[in-house]
Amino acid sequence: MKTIASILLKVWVKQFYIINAGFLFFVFFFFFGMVNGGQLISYHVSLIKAMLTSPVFMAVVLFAWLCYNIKCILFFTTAIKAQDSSFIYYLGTLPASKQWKLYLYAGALVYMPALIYSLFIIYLAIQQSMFGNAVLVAGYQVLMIAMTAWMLYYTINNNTSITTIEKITTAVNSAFKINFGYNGFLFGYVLNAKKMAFAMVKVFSILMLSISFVINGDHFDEDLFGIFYLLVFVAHATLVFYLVSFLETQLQFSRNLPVAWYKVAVMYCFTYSIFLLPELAFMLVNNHGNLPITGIILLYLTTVSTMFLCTSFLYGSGLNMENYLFLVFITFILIFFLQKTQLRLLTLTGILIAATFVFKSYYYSFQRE
Amino acid sequence: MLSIKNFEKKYGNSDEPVLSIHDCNIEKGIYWVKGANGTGKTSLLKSIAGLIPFDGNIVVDGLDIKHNRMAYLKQVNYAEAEPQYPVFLSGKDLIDFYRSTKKGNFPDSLLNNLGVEKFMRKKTSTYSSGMLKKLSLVLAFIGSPTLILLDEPLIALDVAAVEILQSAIRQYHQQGVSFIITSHQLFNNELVSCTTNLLLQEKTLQPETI
Repeated sequence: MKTIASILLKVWVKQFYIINAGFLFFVFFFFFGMVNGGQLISYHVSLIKAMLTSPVFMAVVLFAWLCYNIKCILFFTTAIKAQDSSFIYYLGTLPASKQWKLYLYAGALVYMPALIYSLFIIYLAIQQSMFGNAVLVAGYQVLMIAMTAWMLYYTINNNTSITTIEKITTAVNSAFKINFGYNGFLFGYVLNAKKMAFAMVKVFSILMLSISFVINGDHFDEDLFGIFYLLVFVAHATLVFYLVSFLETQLQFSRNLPVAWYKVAVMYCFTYSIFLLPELAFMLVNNHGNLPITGIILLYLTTVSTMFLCTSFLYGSGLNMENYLFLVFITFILIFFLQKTQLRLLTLTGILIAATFVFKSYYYSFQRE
Repeated sequence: MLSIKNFEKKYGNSDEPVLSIHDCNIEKGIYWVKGANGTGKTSLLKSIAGLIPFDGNIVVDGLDIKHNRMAYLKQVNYAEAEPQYPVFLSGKDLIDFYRSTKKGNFPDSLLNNLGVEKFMRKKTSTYSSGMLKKLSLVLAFIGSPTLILLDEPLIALDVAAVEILQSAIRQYHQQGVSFIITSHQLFNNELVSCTTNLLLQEKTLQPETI
């Protein structure tokens, strides 16, 4: 039983968290990263109290948990039906009670983020003598895990070509399917193939910004912040490399389509501007007057332009990693000194013009080395 | 219809071109480019399709790829020998993308006859090589091209699909569309009878002499 549980831990639970690292990081950042550290507990206590007193708010939270549980179920269905997971069907030979224990265990582990938060809700509900709400939340979460376990039991023990669960999950999948237009291709790639890299870059970025804005918030040092922010840019330069590689290999066919260079340039800039929104939001929320708002917005736009400059370098260097790293290093030094001049608008304009010129010069003549 | 002048294709830092075509003019028609493996058939098609850079110039129906690139690319469509698409996209995503850029007509009958409609809503990660090939062929007929380049179009296709494709080529040819095809597999007699052979050897393109 222990051996089977550890296998399920590897093939389901670990995989679930790897695949959904980007999504979970985003949710975590949304709930915990954007609030000042000192106000984090009081913020969540007020949030939970609002939930306990407002039936509408409670219904919204219960619906959100249901959506997360459906996401978990969709993951399990896909994992079971994957060609390299056919051995999972051997679980069907175990006694029903053992199977249920294993499925409840796996279901609870992937549902863990919602479970942990609901424990705080139950604790606060009991503290406020709202026993009815505590029972409702606890019962609902047990129901969610039981739903996942039942689905696992049903799918594994009814190995037909298309199960009812699959029909339901396919319908749900189609309803939530993102329709990728050209501008969404780069997002689609990151969300599907580079989730871990994206999550790591964002964790690193927020850590760097936290040092300046939260840990040293009362003694904000603009010079130190300048260095940390440049490290944030360098971390994002790896994402730029992934995106250009993707566009010029898996989407190379798009060069046969009448899509002008400037549309491709706009797509890159648009993607970078969305990628950098968490950093912008973090700085705006945790600023507390350390930097002027216009300064933060100019910094954000300069980073978008610098990522576009890196994109142009990749086209100029034929996607050669060595040359690219060298050019990123030169850019790091150059921006470090430009920051000192306080000519922020001029720096932004200069980078944007240089990036556009290099991109236009090399886009059509690009060929991977 | 197609004019290739002072064309040279090099890879990497090599000074030696893999292809060199001084002056080649081709009238409307269906052309079967023959040549041994590694003679540069795919490089030639990719260059004409605008996928890879080259020295010299290529003009299709008066449109120069270097100076009228967008209009040129609306005239020239291309299907790869072994198509690969991002796994998170569905066939429909790709069809919509092609339609939004190429504009013009949509090959409904080819889509239905090849059976692409049945699987186009699924992600391409679930496609077999034959399904990918069928999708790439449908994509190559989208818009209002005057020249369609098909690199090894018969690879991975079943017998019925081969017949459907050859019939589509004849039908589009009658409507004024030209084709340049590379294939190591034979076409049926009906298509062969209206095909002109070109030979790619010694790094250049020339009419095949028997």
